[in-house]
Parts: sequence; structure tokens; C-alpha cells
Amino acid sequence: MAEHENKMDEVDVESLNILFAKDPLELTDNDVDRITENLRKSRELWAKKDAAGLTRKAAKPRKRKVELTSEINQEILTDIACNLDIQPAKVIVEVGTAGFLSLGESDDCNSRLSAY
Amino acid sequence: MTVIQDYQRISEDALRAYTKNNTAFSKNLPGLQIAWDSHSYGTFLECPRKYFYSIIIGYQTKTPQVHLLWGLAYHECLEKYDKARSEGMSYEDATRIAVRHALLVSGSHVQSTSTICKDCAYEFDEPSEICPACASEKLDKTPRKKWYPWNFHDQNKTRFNLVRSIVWYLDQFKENDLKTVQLSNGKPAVEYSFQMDLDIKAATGEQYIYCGHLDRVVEYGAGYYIVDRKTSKNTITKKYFEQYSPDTQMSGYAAAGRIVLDKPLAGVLIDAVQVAVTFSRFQRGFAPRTAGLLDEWLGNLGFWLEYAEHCARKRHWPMNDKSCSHYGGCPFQGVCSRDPSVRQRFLNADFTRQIWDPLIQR
Repeated sequence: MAEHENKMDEVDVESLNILFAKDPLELTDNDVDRITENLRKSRELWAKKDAAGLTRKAAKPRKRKVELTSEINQEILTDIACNLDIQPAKVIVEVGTAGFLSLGESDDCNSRLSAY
Repeated sequence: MTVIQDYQRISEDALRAYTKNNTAFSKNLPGLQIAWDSHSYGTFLECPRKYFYSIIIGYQTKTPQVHLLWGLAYHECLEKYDKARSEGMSYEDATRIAVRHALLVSGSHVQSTSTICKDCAYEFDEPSEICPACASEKLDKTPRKKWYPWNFHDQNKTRFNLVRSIVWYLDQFKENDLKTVQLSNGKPAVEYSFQMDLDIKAATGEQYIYCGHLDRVVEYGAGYYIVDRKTSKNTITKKYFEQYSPDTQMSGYAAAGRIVLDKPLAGVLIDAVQVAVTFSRFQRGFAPRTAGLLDEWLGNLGFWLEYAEHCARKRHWPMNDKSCSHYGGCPFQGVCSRDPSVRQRFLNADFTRQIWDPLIQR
């Protein structure tokens, strides 16, 4: 069990909910301190998750345009283009990190590879 | 194409009526604001028509302005903490004051006429001499105030997140607590309302005033800074802080700090919080201001005040229709997009009136 999961037990969510539902004028100093203490614990827990990179959304991979070079398998590219009945010189191949592939015609007639 | 110069003007009597109870406005020239603050000045810069609607007439949307209410509450709570600390209170005691205030300010007590059964504690609103739950005749009909917490339709700006943000902020900055400046009268520079005479007079002979409210003035490193707190739902990045240089609110604070406090202010220290559903993340940034920048700002202010006077003389505040979609959209966009002949109907339906008087101290 990760350390932050142990901490989770220390945050008394039920108690927090009850205290938040009360009329604040009826809360004692002790009640307010319990709220504060629970929220401090929740911050400690969150800070650990944050430090471990678990709280941030993964950034979307940036689209990069790469010039078509001889290292790229021209043969495969030509095959794909032929199947789609378009000129290889006008092909744009977009390759995603998860195996995503899409094709389209280049507007400037230069073959390019767009890789994510 | 002919430019129509005979634009629609508001009558002098109507203008006078709108501003008669607002002490910030001239008694000699209706519609001319004499005492300015960052809100009214910023609104005028953004769009003179928006300024006319919201500051001169005082139209405010009927729907609760969630971000404004939340931001004000956040400010207030941290001010309570700052003040308590500057008066010598311990960290724990001052935190308790701030948290208690956050719990209280994030809702309201409303007069209730409900009846409570003394036997089974059942609460009911319908008029009855016996309890609908247990048929007891022992009823408590004493009018009492009932607590209603905030219930905004916003997943970030909630009551819980307000209290969480206060506690987390105070927890994060506990160790590097900034040192509050002591004023020449011995009082701490916390919740400091200021009014400074500007070196400009209106044509009516009235002296312009710039006024406002400084949360706190602190020593940080080798300089003095005004502290301001900002809230956002977005991630706080370097670019976020860049939006405050230049910025009229920050320059106004720094100019006021320099003149009123007689201190060589280095700028404004901004503690920004990103309020998300499950966390509040804080970043500290700076909006530095040199003496040259502040002089330039004051020069610009004088120029724009002359333009504001021109608008008042013409009794016309033109639209700046490049601003309509800024800052999440102008609340008057739905009004200004209608034909001028029907606008008043939309104003009456969607807005209420509330005076914005910068001379009223908090």
C-alpha cells in the first residue's frame, strides 16, 4: 500500500461532512480545529500525490512536422499511397504514438511526414 | 458613408438622478466621476459603455457572480488572518479566525417561520397546531434564523474549496510568512484603505482622487511589496504572472503604496491560487514597478480622466466592441447586441441596481 493511501485513512471525511453541514455559529473552536486538521492532512496527502506526478494530466503530445527523408520507408509509403490512389508525392502520413495513422494530400505537393 | 454624430445621449436629469447618492461623482457635472478606484477605472478602460452601465447607473446581474463572491470571501478570510497575526496572535489562533470566517461568509442566515416539534424534533412549514409526524401538540413556533450554505453551480468555487484553499494557503506559506510593514502611526499595514489626491483637476475645479484598498504591505527580500491574492481555475504558470505587467490594478496599488505609505515600493507580490475540484495549488509571483513605470501610469491616468470628462460633457459613453468577449464575456453583451430601441427592456429584466462608491471604506 502506498504511503498516501495510509494517510487517506487519517482524513475523517465523514466528520468533515457533518461539520460542514452545521450552522457555523454553532461550531465550537474544537470543531473548527478539527476541520483545519483534516484539511491539513488532505493537503499532505495531495502533496505526496503531486510530488509523485499523480495529480497532473498528461500533456498532449505536440504535433511535429518532419521532412520526408530517405530513412523513412519510402516503399511502405508508396504502397499506402497507391492503395488510396493518390500520388506519393502528395502524401502526408500522420503517425501517432499509439499506432494512429492517417493519410491526406499535401496542399503544397511536397511529401512530408507528420509525426506526433 | 456618413458618420452619425448625433448619437443618443442620456438626459442630464437622468444622469443626476443615477449618481445623486454616489459620493464619488461630481455635484457640478452629472456623470463625471471624481473619486476613482481600480475597478471603475479598469471598467472605463475596458469599455466606456460597460462603465456607464455598471458604474454610473450601477447595473449588476441578478444571477450571483460566483467568481466575484468566492474571490471576495477568499480575500476577506486571509485579511482576517493577516490582521490577527499582525496583532500578535499565534498561527493556530489566527488560522482558526480565518477558517471560522470562511465557514460563516460562505452562506447566509435567513429568517425562518417553520415550526419544530418539541417531542420528535420534526420541522415543518405548513400551518398546523399538531405535529404531522407524531401528532404532538408541543410545538415551537419561535421565529429563528436558518443557515443556508452556498450552493453555486460551479464545481470549483464551492464552500468546501474556499475553506480548503484558506487552510492549504496558510499551511503552505506558514514557514516563509512575509513581514508586515509597520506604518508611521505604529499600526500594521493590513487592510489599508487609501485615498490620494491626484495632481489633476476636472474643469469643474474638483480635485480628482484615486482610492482603493491594500490587503497588506510587506517586506520581502530587499524591497517593499503590496500583497495581492488572485484566484484562477487554470494552472498558474509564468505566463499567468506576465498578464499583470502592465496592468492598471497593480500599477494603481504600487503608485498608491509609493505615495501614501512613503516607501520605495518594488511592486506587487501576487499569491495566486489555482482552485480545482480536488486541490488548491499556489504560486507566488511578482509584478515589479519602477518609479518611471509608475510616473507613466499616472500620466496615462490623467489622459483617460480627461476622456472620461469628455464623455460626461457629451453625456455619451461609446462602446468598445473589441472588448465584449474579454474576461469570460461582458455581462452586457446580451444588451449591447440588441437594437438600441429595446435595450432598456433587457436591462430591466436581467439586472438590478447597486451603487459602486469607491469612497465607502471597507
